[in-house]
Amino acid sequence: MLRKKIILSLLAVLLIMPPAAFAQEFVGGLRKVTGSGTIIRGGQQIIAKDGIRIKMGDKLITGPNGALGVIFTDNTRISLGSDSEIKIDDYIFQPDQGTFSFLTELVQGTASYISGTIGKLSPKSVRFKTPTAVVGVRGTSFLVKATPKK
Amino acid sequence: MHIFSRLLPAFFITVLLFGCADQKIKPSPAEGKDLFVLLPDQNGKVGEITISNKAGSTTLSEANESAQVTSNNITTRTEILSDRDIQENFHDTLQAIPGTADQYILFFSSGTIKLTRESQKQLPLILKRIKERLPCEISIIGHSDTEAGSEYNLSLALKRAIHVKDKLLSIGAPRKLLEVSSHGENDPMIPTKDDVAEPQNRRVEIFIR
Repeated sequence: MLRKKIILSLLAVLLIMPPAAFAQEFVGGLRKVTGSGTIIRGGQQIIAKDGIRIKMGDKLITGPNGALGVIFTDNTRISLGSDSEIKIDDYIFQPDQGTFSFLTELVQGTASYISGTIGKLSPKSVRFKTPTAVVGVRGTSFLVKATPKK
Repeated sequence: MHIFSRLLPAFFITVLLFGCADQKIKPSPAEGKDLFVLLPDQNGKVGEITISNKAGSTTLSEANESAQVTSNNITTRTEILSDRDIQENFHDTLQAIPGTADQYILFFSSGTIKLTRESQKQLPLILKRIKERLPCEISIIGHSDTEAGSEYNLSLALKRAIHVKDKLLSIGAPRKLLEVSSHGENDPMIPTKDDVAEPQNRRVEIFIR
């Protein structure tokens, strides 16, 4: 009886979990990588190279001569200049359910952002954080440069 | 950096003109400062960004309009930057922007997963483009018109996308790169009222990026 209950509740959990938890493992991929760059994923370091896929929660870091671009599954494009760091805090792209979220955080350096489908279908779901402020986006492209505290 | 130093004289003049009233605007040297620049998109269209923090918010809505922000101050005074200023600050960042995704749209007969003859012919071209763009990722997204129920359409659109995936696999596309999803009737090419048959909305979009 107890075992049955456990199995049932496990099944319930599986049913409740959004399918995206399985389907959307990768949220985008790296392009135009030059110089040195690193992905930090769960404490592990991965050397940045064209074609490497990225996941939610990844931290992307470029070195003094590095730069890289990311194209997300919704066609949003973000790039980083040298000595920069960005975190992909949240990314949900489920147009069939009408659920969207896109939260990126520039920790330091320079970045560019070009809207994709999330920005088109649900602009209010897009948030781009910097050390001093949060940017809300309406279907467009912008640049940010964060000058760190002296 | 150059922008900041160029702005400095203007800043001092402002302080002279407005005296103490503006003194709190001066960022203390210990404070981080961010520069935001709004750009037109690739079609020349300019959207809008709103920058906010505890000090307030400001909106940029013109091409190359910029604002400098610290945690304690959001300026309402914005400046249009020259292309040279932008290049000076963002050259390497701009160079690293990934290319736009290639988009293909395939159409279907009403209520079916049967590709139109024209769309069928595009499949080899799509495969060729995939190979040219490697390393790349491919999204195959099914859509329907609004005729019939939304659940039915969600599943019909998914079947369409899977059908296109199978077609691409059969001519040699790399399985690992193909991702299928369905937007059902939620993302029409031509917006319509509910229960409208619209051939342009019965489609599968393929993005190669």
